[in-house]
Amino acid sequence: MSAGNKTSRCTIRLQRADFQVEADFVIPKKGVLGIFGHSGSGKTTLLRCLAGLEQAVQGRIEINGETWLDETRALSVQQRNVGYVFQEGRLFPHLSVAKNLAYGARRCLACKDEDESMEREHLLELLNIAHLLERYPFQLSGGEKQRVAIARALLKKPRMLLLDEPLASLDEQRKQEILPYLEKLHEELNIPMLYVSHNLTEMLRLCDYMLVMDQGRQVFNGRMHDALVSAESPLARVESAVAVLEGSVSKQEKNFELSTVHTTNGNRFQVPGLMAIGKRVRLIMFASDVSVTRQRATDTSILNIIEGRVSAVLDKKHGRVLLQIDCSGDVLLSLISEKSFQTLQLSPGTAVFIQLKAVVTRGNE
Amino acid sequence: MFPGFEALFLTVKLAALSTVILLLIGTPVAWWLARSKSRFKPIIEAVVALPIVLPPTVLGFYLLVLLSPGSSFGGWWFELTGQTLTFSFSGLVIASVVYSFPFVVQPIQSAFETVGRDMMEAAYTLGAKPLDAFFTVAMPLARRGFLTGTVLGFAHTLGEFGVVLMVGGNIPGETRVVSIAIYDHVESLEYAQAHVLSSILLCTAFIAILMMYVVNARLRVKA
Repeated sequence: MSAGNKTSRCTIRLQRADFQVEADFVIPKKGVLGIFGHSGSGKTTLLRCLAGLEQAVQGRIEINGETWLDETRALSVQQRNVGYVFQEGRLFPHLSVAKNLAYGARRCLACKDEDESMEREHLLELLNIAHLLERYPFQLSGGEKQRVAIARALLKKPRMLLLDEPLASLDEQRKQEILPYLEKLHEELNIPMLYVSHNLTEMLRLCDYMLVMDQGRQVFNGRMHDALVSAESPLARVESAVAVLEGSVSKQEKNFELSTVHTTNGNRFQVPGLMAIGKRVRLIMFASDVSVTRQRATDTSILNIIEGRVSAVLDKKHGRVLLQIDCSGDVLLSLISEKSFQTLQLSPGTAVFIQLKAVVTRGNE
Repeated sequence: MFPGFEALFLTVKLAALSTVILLLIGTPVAWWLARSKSRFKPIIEAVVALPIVLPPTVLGFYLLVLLSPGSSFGGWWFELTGQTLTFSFSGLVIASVVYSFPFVVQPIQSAFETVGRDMMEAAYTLGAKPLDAFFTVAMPLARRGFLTGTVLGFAHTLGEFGVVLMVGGNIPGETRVVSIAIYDHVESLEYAQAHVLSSILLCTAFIAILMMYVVNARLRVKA
């Protein structure tokens, strides 16, 4: 069996005088693992432990069959060869953008000159920083700095890319500017990405897997979809109720500017915008945009009405009820009032129709 | 030849050599002081700063004791080289290094402190080993501290008097530096010669400090 098929598993324990961090999770081969939690939940520390930036970490880290940490040894940061993007970018202020980019690449053992320059060109284009090479960090905007920092981390050919709240220091507009670049990276990168954030919206767009931290402890680890809708997940609550589904575009209606997305379970969703047939997209459905009826409504403006069954009552709070609804395998969430919940006499097993008011698709402008 | 030339040449040689040694020893000490959380750090810092407040005669006296062939260090040196350290140029270099140490270490230390751990961590994640990161990140970012330390170390050694007198005496061509030559001239009421040497020292010191401020402004790393 080749090393490429081995799994990457981390058991990390860090004990400090005033706090501790504990987690046990699997890093996917490819795709984005989101590390989510409130500030102070230990998510950045966890990332630093993985990168080798913290001392006295206990546990075991196995990456692709290679041991980074066990009882007897701990590889240094340099040996682990991760790409790390810090919250503040941490570009070297005394070096131009070009030299910042070259810093990691020059110290990269796996890099060969020829194929590297090609990749470099491609990466500069992808992140739209080719025109900034002669500038110095102080001449860049916050968003530009972060794009350079991401390119710098990738040019050393890391075995995984670690992003520590790369958008947290940016304002909303700059965030929206950078997210598409991250999404493009997500599609192109062949290495795993770990993305630390306290912003669920960013996670919804980027991540395939989730690790949820609370007070230094891992409280959930699994696929993105499960992290949002499964009863065991701390995210399946009234405050953060949202679900995602993956599907591919099967039909376009040019005159209505609508596209139809098919999920593997056979459900069809009509979403605004014209997208290329066959394109894989992610649908983000906030539970507050999902209502339920006992009978199929006829004269309605709602385009997406899908048959399902209440599979669980996940949470009740402030007069609102969060329902988990199974639509032939696609699990969604619906947030309704306690009053409607009683009037409609809903309980696990009740057959319902869900009405979907709005669907957000991921980054496909 | 101009009579003060010998003293001037000796002074510049002493200052230059001492500055080089000071940078070589002072840089690692400054780095350690900037990074260390050791409980011994304040003690080391106090020892480093001592020459600033100590009367040169006190410092000179202890150095004289330390360097004399009767002491263990001076004796070891005598065994090794066959020369005594007291009343010799080598002894002056050692004395100058001790005397000017804080003037080199302190500016470099505070420059290293502003570089901080963050940039070093960034360098490590990009594959740089500690020494590599030190030379390519910490030193360039602390370059203003190095400039200040170099100029202050050089200028301070240039004007050294009391310590030299204590450990080196007044041997022409060996330990008779400018400040001592000036003292001799004044003692013998040779004001003209004292004027020449004093003005040269004044101008050199002024130009060195001026250059430091001019270059310092240009070296500022914009963040």
